[in-house]
This record gives sequence, structure tokens and C-alpha cells, in this order.
Amino acid sequence: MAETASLTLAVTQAFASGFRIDASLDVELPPGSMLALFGPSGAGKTTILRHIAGLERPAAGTIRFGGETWCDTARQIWQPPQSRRIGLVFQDPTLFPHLTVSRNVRYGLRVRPRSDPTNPGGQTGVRMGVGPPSDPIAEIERMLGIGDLGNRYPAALSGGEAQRVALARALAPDPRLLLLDEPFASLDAPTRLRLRRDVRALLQTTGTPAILVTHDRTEALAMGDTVAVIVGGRVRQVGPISDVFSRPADAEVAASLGIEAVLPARVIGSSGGVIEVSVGDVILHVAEREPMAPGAGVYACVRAEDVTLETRAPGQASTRNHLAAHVVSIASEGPIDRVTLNCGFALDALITRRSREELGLTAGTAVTAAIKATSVHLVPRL
Amino acid sequence: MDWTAIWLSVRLAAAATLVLLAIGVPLAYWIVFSPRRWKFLVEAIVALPLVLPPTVLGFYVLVGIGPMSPVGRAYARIAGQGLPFTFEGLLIASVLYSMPFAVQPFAVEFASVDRRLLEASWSLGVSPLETFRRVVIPLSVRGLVTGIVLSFAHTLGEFGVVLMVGGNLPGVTRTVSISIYDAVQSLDYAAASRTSLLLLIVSFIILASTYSLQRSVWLKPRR
Repeated sequence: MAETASLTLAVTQAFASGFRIDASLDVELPPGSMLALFGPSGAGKTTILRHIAGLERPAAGTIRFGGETWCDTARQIWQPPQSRRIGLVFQDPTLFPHLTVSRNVRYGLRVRPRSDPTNPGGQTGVRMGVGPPSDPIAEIERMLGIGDLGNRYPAALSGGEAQRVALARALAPDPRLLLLDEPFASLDAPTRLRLRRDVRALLQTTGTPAILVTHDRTEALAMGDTVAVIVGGRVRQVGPISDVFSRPADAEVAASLGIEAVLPARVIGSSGGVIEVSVGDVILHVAEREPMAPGAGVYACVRAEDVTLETRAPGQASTRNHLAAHVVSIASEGPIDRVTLNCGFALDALITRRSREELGLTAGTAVTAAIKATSVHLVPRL
Repeated sequence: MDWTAIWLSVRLAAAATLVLLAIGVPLAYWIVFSPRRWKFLVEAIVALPLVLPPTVLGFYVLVGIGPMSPVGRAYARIAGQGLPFTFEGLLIASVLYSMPFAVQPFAVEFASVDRRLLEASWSLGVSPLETFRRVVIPLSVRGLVTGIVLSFAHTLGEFGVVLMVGGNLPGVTRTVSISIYDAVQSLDYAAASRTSLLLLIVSFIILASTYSLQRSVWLKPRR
């Protein structure tokens, strides 16, 4: 699918526990892009995903995707999950235990065969470089590294393998939208990192837009293009990842995101255990925790409490980053003041009120923001 | 040994089992997957034969299929013969009597299938009914076998209902349990003992194989 599809959603549902979903969302999903539904546990992320999948019926509301109305309670329109052409992957693999890997992957093809890839007018399948069009299902299996598992039964697979099969099964019928409900959460860390990378690459190849439910901010940063922050059953903020993480709409959103600046950056190079990244025109030095290729896109994350402010030129110190800045505004948070700086990009520093008074900081004061190289965390963008 | 009665019982049990398979699977499916709130009433009705004295069930079936009821009259008009004291009448009674022994194992097994497997299937475009055939049924083989075996064994051994509905016509309604009762009544303890032992052995073998299947004694463990 080559066109951007829009997803519009406004649903309400009340539960016996008193919990209430009252969510509205209006996003564009370009081909191969990923929307992260991010929020704390119990915020209603999974329920909203199940509304989109058609597995849960809202008490009232509408859901539209790509020009189709999937749900409109006022007009009594309801499309069951079968007719929404979605792919769905749960936290646990949930493969059909009585079918082999190969038959699991092809389970949905009997009712929803892929259209002929040689037919230019029809749905395009996986597009793979040059050469004759190959079997798209085999390509998906190859990209997910499960090509050799075809005759095995799910009971004989590792957790990572099983989740790869579940992904292949969801993508095989060429869905218009892939829904991922914390699919990496129950995997061990190395497996999780590899699978995230493979999934991102595969979706960009197939051009399938995806919605990812996650409570893991690193995962949201690494995989999401857009993020919707969900707190207490409501969508509190929607936007590009770095915008939302750097400028949370309110304190509750900020709390769920983690109080940290998320700066889009690019790796310049590394030497002697220090990576240089550029944030706009500003260069940051970051302690090298894992190798990063020059040119790679990353998010540089800085906690406000790790930013120190100096008014005089610094002497000899171990701090690697000294950024010329001026104070934009100061907000009091009890005994702590939040000082918002402009140092080529927006950055917050948390300091005590006494420090602020001693330094005589007011809006417009020129300062130097010091950040230790070990206080900057890089999250590679997949 | 009363081979006529034994053969009749086997035929009755086989026929009742087939009918129960045909109506028990859809009924169990409905009980498990229907969103209706009042389905507990149907569950209770299905389970009634477990607690009701067979004579009570037999009495109502007799009245229900007899010439006094519209069903009985309609059947008599079509078939030219009433249902009471016939093999067909006995079959209807047996199906009702053994219903819980089929429907309950079916329903328990259907309900134990992971719901997310069904949701995964639906999301792949497969209808609920087709999902039932392709996922639920293959994962419920043990429950289906249990239900089939229990229905067969239970019908084979019934007595009270048969006596009420079928009477005691050799080759038509005289089942093996009635044959044993007859033998005892006429003080032919040798015949009663032979037939009883046969029924005991057959029932034991059937139940032992069912339980071994449930415990996966002979199957590879399934995760």
C-alpha cells in the first residue's frame, strides 16, 4: 500500500472497575511508519488497540481507517475483525499449536489470498529489489529468519522464534495495518533488540503502517515515528516522537514520559571512548556504551537534574559538555526550580532555589550549561 | 447369553452417540461462545438428566412422544406407528438421557481453547464458524473423544428410561440391562451373571481407555 492512510478514532467505554476509556486520536500513517501508543500499565493502551482491531466494541464512538468506517455506533456500523484487513501480534506468540510453522504463517491466506504481485493494478506485495518477483511469503519468512523452521511445531520453538512466526503470520495476507501489542515485552534483551530491528526493516520493505503498544520508552523512541501518550484511558498528546518527549503537554504526560529531554541527533564519529553527536549546530560528547556508526540517527536523552549551570567561565573540570545558553524561563517546583534554557535547542535544568538565587538567574541571563558525557544516553533510531 | 439384547444395546448406543455428536457439538459451541445471558438455563436443562431419576425423565419422554402429545400424534401420522415402545422412541429418550455426558466434555474442552487463538484467527480474516472448524475442533479432540465414549457407555448401561419408554420387546426395545433384570426375575442367575460380567468388562475397558487418553498416557506431551 503506497498511500498514507489516516486513522480517526473517538471511542468511549466504561468498565465495572470504574475505569473509563475516553480516547480520541487523529493521525496520518504513511507507508511503513509506526505509531507508538505509549503509556503506563493500565492506561488503556491495549483496550484502544483492541477497539482498532475490532475485538472490543466501544460503548459509543467511531473508528475510521483509510477511508473505511470500521465502527460508528450512532449509525450502527460495525466491521468485524475479519473484514478490517489487519494483522495482529500479541505479547505472547499465540501460534496455533496443532499446525506447523509453515501452516501457521499461511493460515490467513486461504480466506485472504494476496493479490497477484505481477499485476500492477493490484495490491503490491513485498517489493524486493531487482529480479523476478519471488514468493512474497517466502521473502517475509527469510527476512524474519524463520525460513528453516517450516516443518516444526510451535512447541519446539524458542520465544523469539515463535514471535517471529507470529509476525510472519500477521503480515502474510498483506494487511493494511499491523497492530502490535507489546510484542517484544516477553523476550530477553538481545532477542528483543534484534527483533525490533528486523521488524522495523521488514515493515519499511512491505510498506505496512503499524501501531505499537508499549510502556517501554526506549522502545517507543527506537521504533516510533509518531507517539500517542495514553494516561488514564485518554489520549493526552500526539505528535512526532521528539516533540512529544521534549515538550510534554502537561505534568502528567511528562511524568509518564520520564523527565528527560529527547534531542534528535546524528552521530559524527567516535574516538577514545567518546562519541560526538550533533544536535542541530551543537556538538555533544557522549560516553560510548555501544558502538554507533557515523551518520546514524539517534536520540540524545538528557535528564534535567543532570544539567549543571555555571555563570563564570569554567576552569579545568571533568565535565565534557559546556554549552553557551541563556535562560528562557524559570518555574518553581517547590524547593526546586526548573530553568528552561536555550542553548541552540531547548533544555531544562533542575537546580535548587538557593543555587538559583546565588547565581542570580533571571530570564535572559547568559549561562553555561554543563553536562557530563556519562549523563547523555543515546537511543538509536531504527 | 442374550445376544439379541446385546446387539440391540450396541445399536442403540451407537445411534444415540451419533445423534449426540451431531447436536451436541453445535449445542456446546453455542453454550461456550454465545454472548446470551440466559444460556445458563440451557446448561441447566442439558444437565438435568444427571440429577433426575431416570423414571421421571422416562415418564416425561413417554408422555411427550405418546399419542397425547402433538409431537407423538404428528409422528404417528407420518410413520404410521407411534413412538412409545419402538426403537426410535428409545433412541429419543437415550439421546436426552445421555446429553450431559456428551455436551459437558465438549463444552469444557471448547472453553479451554486459548481465546487469543480465536482472536488471532479472526484478525486473519477467518470467520467464527471457520475458526471453530480449523482451530477449536482440532484442539478439542480429547474432549470430543471423551464425550463420544461416555455417551456410548452411558447409553449402553441405561435401565430406568428404557423400561419406561421402551418396555421389554425382544429385538425392539429389550436392551442388555433389561435382559439381566429379566434373567434375575426368572431366577436364571447364571445368565444374569454372564451378561453382567460382559457389561462390566466392556464398561471398564471403555472408561479406562478414556481416562488414559485424558491423562495422555499414550500420547506425547503437548504444551
